[in-house]
Amino acid sequence: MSHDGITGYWDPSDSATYLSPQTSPDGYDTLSYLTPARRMALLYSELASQLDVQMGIPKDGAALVTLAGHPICTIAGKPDLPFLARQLEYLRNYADLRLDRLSEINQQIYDLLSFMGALGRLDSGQKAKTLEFLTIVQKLTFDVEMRVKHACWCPRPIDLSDYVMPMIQTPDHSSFPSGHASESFALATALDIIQRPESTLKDGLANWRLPFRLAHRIAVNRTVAGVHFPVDSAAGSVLGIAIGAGLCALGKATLTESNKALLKSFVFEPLLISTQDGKAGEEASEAEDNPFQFGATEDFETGWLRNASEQMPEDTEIDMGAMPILGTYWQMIAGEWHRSASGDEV
Amino acid sequence: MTGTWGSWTAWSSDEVDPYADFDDAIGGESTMSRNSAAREAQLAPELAGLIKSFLDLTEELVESAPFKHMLTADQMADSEDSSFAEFLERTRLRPKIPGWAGRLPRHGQGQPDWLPEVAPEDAPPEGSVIVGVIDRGVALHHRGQRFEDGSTRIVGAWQQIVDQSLADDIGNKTQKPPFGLAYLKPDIDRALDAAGLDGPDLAIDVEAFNRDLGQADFVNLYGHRELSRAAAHGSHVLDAATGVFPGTTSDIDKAFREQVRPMVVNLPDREIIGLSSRNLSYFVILGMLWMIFTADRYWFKAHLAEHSEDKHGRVRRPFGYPMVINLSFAKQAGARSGDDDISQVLEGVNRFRMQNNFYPVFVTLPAGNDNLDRGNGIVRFPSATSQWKPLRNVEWRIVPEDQSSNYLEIWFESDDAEDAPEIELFLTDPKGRRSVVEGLRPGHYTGLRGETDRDIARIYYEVKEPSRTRRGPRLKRYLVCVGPTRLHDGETSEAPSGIWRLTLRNVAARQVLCSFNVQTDQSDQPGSRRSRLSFLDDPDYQRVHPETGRPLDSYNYPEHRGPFRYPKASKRKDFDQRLPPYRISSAETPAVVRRHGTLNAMAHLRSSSMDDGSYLPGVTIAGGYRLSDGKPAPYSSTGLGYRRYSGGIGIGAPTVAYPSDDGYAHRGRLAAGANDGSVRAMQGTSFAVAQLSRKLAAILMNPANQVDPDFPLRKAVGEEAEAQESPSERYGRFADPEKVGSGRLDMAPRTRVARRES
Repeated sequence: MSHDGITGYWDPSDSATYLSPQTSPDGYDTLSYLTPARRMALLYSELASQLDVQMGIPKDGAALVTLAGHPICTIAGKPDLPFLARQLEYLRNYADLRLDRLSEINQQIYDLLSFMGALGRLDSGQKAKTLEFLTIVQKLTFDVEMRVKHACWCPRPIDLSDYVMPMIQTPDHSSFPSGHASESFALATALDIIQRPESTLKDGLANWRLPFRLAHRIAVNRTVAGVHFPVDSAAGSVLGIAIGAGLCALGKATLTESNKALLKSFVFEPLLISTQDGKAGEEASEAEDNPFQFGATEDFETGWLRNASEQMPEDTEIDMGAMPILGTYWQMIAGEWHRSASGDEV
Repeated sequence: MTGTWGSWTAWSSDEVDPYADFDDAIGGESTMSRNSAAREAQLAPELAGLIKSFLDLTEELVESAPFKHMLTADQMADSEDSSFAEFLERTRLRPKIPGWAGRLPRHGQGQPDWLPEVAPEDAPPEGSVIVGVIDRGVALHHRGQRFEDGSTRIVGAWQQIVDQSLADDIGNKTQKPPFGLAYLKPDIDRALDAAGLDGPDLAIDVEAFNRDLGQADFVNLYGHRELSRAAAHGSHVLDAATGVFPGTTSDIDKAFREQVRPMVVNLPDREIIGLSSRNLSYFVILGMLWMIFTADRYWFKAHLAEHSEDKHGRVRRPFGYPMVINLSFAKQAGARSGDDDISQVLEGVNRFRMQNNFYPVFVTLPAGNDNLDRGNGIVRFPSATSQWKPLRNVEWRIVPEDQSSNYLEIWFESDDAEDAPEIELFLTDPKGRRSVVEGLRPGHYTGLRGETDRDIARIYYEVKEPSRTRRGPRLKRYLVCVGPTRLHDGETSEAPSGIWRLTLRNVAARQVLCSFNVQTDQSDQPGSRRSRLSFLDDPDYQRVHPETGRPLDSYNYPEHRGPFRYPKASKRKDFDQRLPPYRISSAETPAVVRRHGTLNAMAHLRSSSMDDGSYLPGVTIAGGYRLSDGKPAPYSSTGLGYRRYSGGIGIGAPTVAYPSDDGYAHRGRLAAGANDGSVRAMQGTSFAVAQLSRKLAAILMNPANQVDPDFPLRKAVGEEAEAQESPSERYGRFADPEKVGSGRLDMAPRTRVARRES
């Protein structure tokens, strides 16, 4: 026993044996006293407490995602079987690209963030906090999407036809909405906001900046692979944009004294096919002015998302209260991109 | 009766191509993955529009032309000379697809309104050179095809298979072609504007642009999807032929950008063209004429008035724009006689143009990539009365898991008026069932009945009379068709894979030269293995070097310095083991299968002189070689019986060779990928010929070369190649003319390769 062998008798009341401890650790304000994993756990925990999914709202097969109690995304319904059957046509036609996309599809089964790393440094040196934040954004999106998938369960393409023959293993969870689309668009949104704080989400989408192109390609690759319908990707893209934008809005709010965040509320709605009288037609939308509607004959094309984004939801100001851990992170992330927290060049 | 060959039966040989007839008989080769009904449905309603003619030398244009020798439309139709009407009738241009032929009246009736309305202000300036690219997957948005202000250089593009309702999306005001959509420069510029993005200069939402123009079509089964891949054949070709780096500072490049103007025809899906390319000529000819007539229409509207005459009333320059049409496609089987549709139309077009003081149209073709595919053979049969046995077995191996039909053409010449074949053919399938010859007549076929009461194989027999332009003997053809060896529909029989033995016997009292060609057999999608190529399985054919295992090209590649000429036989190793003098008559070799003679079956239109002494250009052909050391590409097809360009027939050799590989470790050549700014290496003579087209355009840019419509462009490029080759300084090694024609040229290095995104 080393202790017995070297300390001799130890009287804890003898001040001569005392050291001079810190009352708070060095790097407390910057969280640098923690290992990256612990730091991320803190941030994850703080942000996760703000996110919630209410299943079955506004109706069965729907889900409402809230951030700080504010609705940021409503998946207002799920596609029915005739809708999905109609979308099988796209599964057939996108399959023509399989050979071309084989390697990236395989890589994207488990890894999306590395692809985002092609659009900016995301290493654990210079961009450690950004990398940690994006990792948490993806993890939170995964948590949310799983609950939304559970609420909106839909069969996979292979369930409708064995002729799909996906080129990769079909996952066990719901097809709708697409997790890959949700996560890649959440990452793209956060990265775009971080890289271009002077710009807006609307501009980013309207000008189809690279993070969104990449997210779109990742999402479409899942249709090429045969595991997702285009409608899955469309819904996932809206969900991901809502989460990415919402989390970044919280970060920005920490820079203001009032801690007020500007949050948007997206609504995605599949337009179901009515098969009454044997005639196919699209069911009237409950909210006809909602730009994020998606019909059974539609493809998840760039134009759909860009056009819909022209009618970006208005911001609602929400009082967030203090979020010290996120605030610290957001300051450091901004610094990593050579800007002050306010967005000025440093 | 099931399992036996039927008696010889007539088919509608005047109306239906035997390829199409067989495809129809077996229920459509597309039963493998897509149904033929869907294929036809996408085209058929639009084909009704083809009642309209493609003659565009409209009354409007003709009447505005102040030249006495210009024919009116009516005269053209009635002319006994080589008018459009005549050559169209001669070629009987129509898609010989069952059910379609009757709906397509002759195309020589002078209704021009399938062509777009053009505005003179959009016309290329006088002196511009048009480079037409007929291909698949030609992107229309690349910055290399745009002027400095971002507007397109492309004069017009015909997307042969797109949804016509797309016309409204970009405000297309031009008239619609019979099928698909035609876009002119203003249409493309509108689409570029609509897809424009803030950000990098000239950036656009590429996918939105491609969808607007029907090139990212995931709705229609046979929609264009090439541009959603990393590499696209036509985009690579267009870039190599006409692309200019947007940031170039080179005056030469800038002049090229201003003066060379692309036109594009995006061909339909491979399944519509035909896996054996049987409908290729139909779409190519329509595309070719569309480009020619549209360019003419622009020229007449914009430049006729400024067209000056000298004091004798003679025009100083020919009419129209100088034009090069790049056709990076090849067919493996054909008569190689100049009688095919494309050759005849091209000859007809140029004969007409030369007679009426227009610039001729120059067409460039690839040598083909089939050199080592064992699809080509030649046998000279001794006379039936000779002491030598006038009989030969040829083994044709049909591979398993082949989801497309296989075709083998057997051609031989006939110098008498008899319809009966000099060569009798017996076909024995792998199960030992042998065809019969009793009852054989031209225009008849015999079929091997499968288990489901449909033929699984057929032999068609035809006699081809010499055309007016080909003063040769009658040609006779067997077309042997074998259906897929793998089917999934459960309703049709699969043909057995294995050796299909052809037993041929000369019954004539003279020697007969007989050629064999396995027809092109491509898959419906790039990279797919659904179609598998059959081949002639010849034990005497030496495929690989016995020590190194490397594939043997047509020749070795000996050290050779000195003047560019045929080396002595001792210096030369012919792996087809032919004997001097290396001409078609040298057929007495152990092997039936040859590399020699694989040259693109469409690449045989000869140059000739017309009655008035003017020069009628033939096609210009590019083979491929490796840039690093000059070695001819092994896959680059070989001619047969080389003679130099003067009077040489096209099957003799390519005109010249351009690089089709950069080096041993870098296969293919770099040019544009599918997406703007991306670059891909693509290998094959398709990309060599694109460089040839660029070269021809560069020659034609020179005003001095635009004055004379008789300018012998093919000869000029051949002489330049020969001049480069002659000192043998460049590579120091000799390359055989049947592989590289007059010599090896290289495209001038471009300033740099632009990269933006992949």
